[in-house]
Amino acid sequence: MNMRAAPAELSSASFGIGQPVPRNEDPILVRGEGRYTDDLSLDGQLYAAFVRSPHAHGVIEGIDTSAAKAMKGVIAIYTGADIDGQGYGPLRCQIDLPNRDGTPIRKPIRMALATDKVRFVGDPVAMVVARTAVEARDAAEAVALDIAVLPAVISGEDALAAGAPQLYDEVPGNLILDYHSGDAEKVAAAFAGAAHVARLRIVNNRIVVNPIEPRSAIASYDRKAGRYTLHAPSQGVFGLRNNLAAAMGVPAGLMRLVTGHVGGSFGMKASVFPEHVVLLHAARLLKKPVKWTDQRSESFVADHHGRDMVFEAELALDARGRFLATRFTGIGNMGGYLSPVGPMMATLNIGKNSVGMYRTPLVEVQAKCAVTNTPPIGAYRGAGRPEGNYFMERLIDAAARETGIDSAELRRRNLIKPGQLPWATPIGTVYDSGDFPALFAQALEAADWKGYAARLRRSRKAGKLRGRGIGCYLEVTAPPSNEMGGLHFEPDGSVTIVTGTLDYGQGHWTPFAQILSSQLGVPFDKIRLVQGDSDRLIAGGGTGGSKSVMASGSAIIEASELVIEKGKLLAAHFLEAAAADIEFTGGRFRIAGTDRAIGIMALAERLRTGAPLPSDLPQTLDVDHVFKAAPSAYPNGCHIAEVEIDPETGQVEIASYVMVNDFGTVVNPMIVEGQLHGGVVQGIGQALYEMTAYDEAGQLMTGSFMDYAMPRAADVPFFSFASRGVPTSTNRVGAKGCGEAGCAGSLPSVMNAVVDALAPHGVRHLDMPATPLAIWKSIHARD
Amino acid sequence: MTIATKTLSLTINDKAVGPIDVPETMLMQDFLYEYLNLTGSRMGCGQGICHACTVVLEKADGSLEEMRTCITGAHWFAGRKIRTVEGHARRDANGAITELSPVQLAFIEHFSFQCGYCTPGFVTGATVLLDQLKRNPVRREALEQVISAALDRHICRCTGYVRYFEAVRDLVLRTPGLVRT
Repeated sequence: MNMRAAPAELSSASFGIGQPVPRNEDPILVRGEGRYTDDLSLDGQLYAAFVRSPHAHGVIEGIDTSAAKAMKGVIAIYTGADIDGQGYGPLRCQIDLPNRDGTPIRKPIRMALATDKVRFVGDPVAMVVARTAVEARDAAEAVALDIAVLPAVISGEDALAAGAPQLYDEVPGNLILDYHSGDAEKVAAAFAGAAHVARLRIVNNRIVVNPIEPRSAIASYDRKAGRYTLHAPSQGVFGLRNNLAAAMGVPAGLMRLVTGHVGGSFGMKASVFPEHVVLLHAARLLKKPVKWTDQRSESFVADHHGRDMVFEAELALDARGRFLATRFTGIGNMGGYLSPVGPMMATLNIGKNSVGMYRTPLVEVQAKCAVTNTPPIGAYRGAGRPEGNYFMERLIDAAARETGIDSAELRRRNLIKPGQLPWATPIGTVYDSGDFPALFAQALEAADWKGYAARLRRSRKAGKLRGRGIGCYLEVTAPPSNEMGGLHFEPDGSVTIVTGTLDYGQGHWTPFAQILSSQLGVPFDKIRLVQGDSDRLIAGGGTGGSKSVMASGSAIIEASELVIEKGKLLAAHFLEAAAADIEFTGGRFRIAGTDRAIGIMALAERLRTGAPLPSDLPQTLDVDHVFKAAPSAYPNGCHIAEVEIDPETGQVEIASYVMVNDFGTVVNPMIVEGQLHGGVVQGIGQALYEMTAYDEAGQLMTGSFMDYAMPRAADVPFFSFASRGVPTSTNRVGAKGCGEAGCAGSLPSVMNAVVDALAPHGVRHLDMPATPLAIWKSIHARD
Repeated sequence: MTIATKTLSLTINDKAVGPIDVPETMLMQDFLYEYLNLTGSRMGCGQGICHACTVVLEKADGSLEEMRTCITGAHWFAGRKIRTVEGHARRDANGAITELSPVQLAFIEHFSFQCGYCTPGFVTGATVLLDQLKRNPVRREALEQVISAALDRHICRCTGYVRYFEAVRDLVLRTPGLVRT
C-alpha cells in the first residue's frame, strides 16, 4: 500500500520542513497493529501481580504469604525483605535544590517494596509471580497484610501543620524542601510602594494522568552475560536505562531497555517505578521472563499523579497598571515518596513560567514541598509550567477587575516589545525572539474581542451567564540535555535516523524524516527511525519538556552536515576532483560549475557495492553524532475562551476557543495543531472536570472512569488555531516546542472566562475543577 | 481445582475460528489476546467505560453493533460473527492489505489520532455509526449531535477529539444516503 506516490525528485520539496505531511506512524496504528508493551510475550514468561497497601499510612507488622504460596500456579512471592540487601535501589529523586538557608533538600529513601511503613493507598508491598496472570492476581488477594494503621494526611497544607501525622522520622514536619528564589527585600519594597496589590489563593488541582495504555513491563535476565532486559513504555530509553541500572545496582552496560509503541504518557512513564525493580529481580532469580500489566484501578492509585499545589499569588501594580513585582508563596504536595522530578514543579518551574511575556522586574517564589499520604507527584504535561502560568494569568484578571482596567488592556501595557529583545527576566532566562504585542493583537482580533457585548446580550437573553478569558503564556522548555543524531545508510537502501527522544503519540518519525529530507535530499519514504532500544544509542536526553524536535532535530541537522563533509571527500574520489571543488545541493554532490554530480543515495549505493576504498577515505556515510545540549526555548501564545454557564445547573459550555501560538519554525503544522488540541483539552479537563478526591483516611474516592471525569467528545469546542512563529536562535531548527503549551493556554483562559461569567454574582475566584456543583454553589453562596 | 472450559466456535474477520477449549469465565478480550494474538482490541479500563476494546458484532440481519470485549465473556460470542480492528482493511489472497476501510482512511486523512491506543475503538464506533446511518439516515441539522453522542462513549487522552469528529462528519457527508435532505 503506497499512501503517497510522489516521485523521488519532488520528495524534499513535498516532504520538507513546514509541510503538513501525513504521519508515517498512522497506517500501522489505524490497523490495530501497533506493538505496545502488553502485546509482547516472551517464551516461557511468567506473570506478576502486585500486593498494594489498602491503607494510606501505617506500620507493616507482618506480611503472611503462606496461603498465597500454596495456591495453584504460584511460583514465588517477593516482599521488601527479599528485595532488601540485594544491592538494589533506592529509587532516586534527581532534583537537588537547596533550602533557603543553604542546607540540602531532604530526600527520604524509597526502596522498591515498602518494608517499615506504607505511605499511600497503592504503595506496593509484595509481588506474586504465577504461571498465569489470573493466578497471580488471585494469589495477590490472598496475601495477608498486618498493618497498624496510622492517621493519614492528604493535603500539603495539612502535612505542614503542627501536630500532623509524620511520614518519615528523617523528615521532621513532613518538610522536604523550603525553597526560595528572588530578592525578598526588593520585592517587599515594591509591594509596599504599589498603588494596587492583587492577591489570590489558588489551588492547582491534583490530576490522575490516565494515558489510555496502562503501564506494563516484561523483565528478563541473561545469566551468561549477567545482563537484564526490560521491555516497558518510556519517554526515552537511554536515560531511563541508566536510571534502571542504578536502581538495580549494575553498570549501565548490563541493562537494556526496549520500548515499542507507547499509548500516551504525558510525563508519567519517564520514571523508574518500583514494579520495574521487582520484576527484574524475579526474572533473575526465576530464570524466566516475568510480565506485568497494570489494571486501570491500579493505575489510579499506583501511577504518579500530576499538579497538586496551592499558592498565595500576589501582584503589585503602579497607578498606571504596570507590573512591579510578583510573589508566589505556596506548598507543593509531593505525595508519599519523591518521584524523580517531584520537587521541581512547585519551585523552579513556577518561577520560570510565571514571568510570561510581561515586563515584571521582580519575581519571588517561596515554596514548601511536603510529603503526604498520597501517590507521588510526577511530571504531567508541562510539569509546573502551566501551573506557574495559570497563577500569573489568574492574578492579572483579578487585578484588572479590581483596578477597573480592561483585562486585555492591562496585559497590553505590560507586554515585552520586540525592540526590547533580547529580554533578561528576573529569574535568569533571556528571551531571544517573539512578537508578543502583534501575537496578542491577532488573538484579540480572531476572538472578536470588540464584538463581545452583542454576544453577552444574546447569552443573557437566553438566560445564560457568559464570560470571556484570556490566557497568555510563555513557557521555558526543558533544560539542556545532549541528544544523539545517528544517520545510518542501510544495506537495503534506506536511511535510519537513530535518536534518543521517544514518541509516545506525538509522531516523531515523520517530522524527523522531514528535517533529514530537507537537509540531505534523502527520499522521505526511505527514512526509518530507531528510538526505542538502548543498545542502539550512544546518547539520549529523551522526550520531555517539549524538547524533542529541538533536540533531535538539531542533532539530525548537525549529523547531516557531517554526512555532507564525508560525502564531499567520497564524491571527489569518484568524480576525480578535489574535495574543495565539490558542492552539495539538492541531494547531489557536484563538481562546482559542471554538470558532473552524484546523488547521495547513489553514492551510498556505490559505497556498499563498489570496490574497497583507499584507507584514508571514509568507508561509509554513516554518522553517530552527539548534539551538545541546546538552551531552552520560549514558546508563547495567547488563547481566548468564551463560556456560557447555565445558572440553573452550573453546567459550563465552551462557546468559543481561539489560539494564536508562536512555536518558531514549525516542521509539521498538522502535528503541531494536533498537539495543541490535545494539550488544550487536557487543560479543559483539569479546569472543568477532573477531580482527584480523597476521604480523610486517604482512600481515593474517584478511582475509576465512572467517578473521575475525563473530558469527552461532547465536552470540547472546535478551535480557531493560528501560528505566528518567530524562529528561535536557541537551536538549529528554530523550533520552540509545542507539546505542553496547550495546557498553559487553556487553564487560565477557561478559568478566567468562568470567573468572568460568575462575576455578576460576586465571585472573585473559583478553584479548579469548576464542576457544575462548584459553580452552582458559588452562584448561590450569598443566598 | 481445574478451570472449567467449554468449546467455542465463532467467526472473526470472515474466518471460522474454533472449536477451541476456552475457560468458561474468560473475557473476550483475553481470548482475542491470548488465544488468537489479535491484540488490536485494547485494554483501557477493564470496566466497559473507555471503549478502547470494542469490536463490531455483525448480526444476522446484517446490521452492526459495538461490543465491549473487556466486560463480555468469550462464550457470549459463540456462533456469532465479529470484526476486530484487524479485519477492517481489505486484504488480498495472501493476507496482505490492499485497501483501508473508509473510516480508517478518513482517520488518517484528518490526522485523527496520536498514540493510537484508543484508535481501534474509534474505528469500531465510527464504523457502527455509519452502518446505523445507512439504515436510518439522520437529518442534516441533527448530524453533529449524533456524531458527538457516538464519539462521546470513547475516551481519548491525546487528541481532544476534534479531528476524530471532523473525520467522521466528513465521511458521513460524502457517503451517499446517510443524511436526509
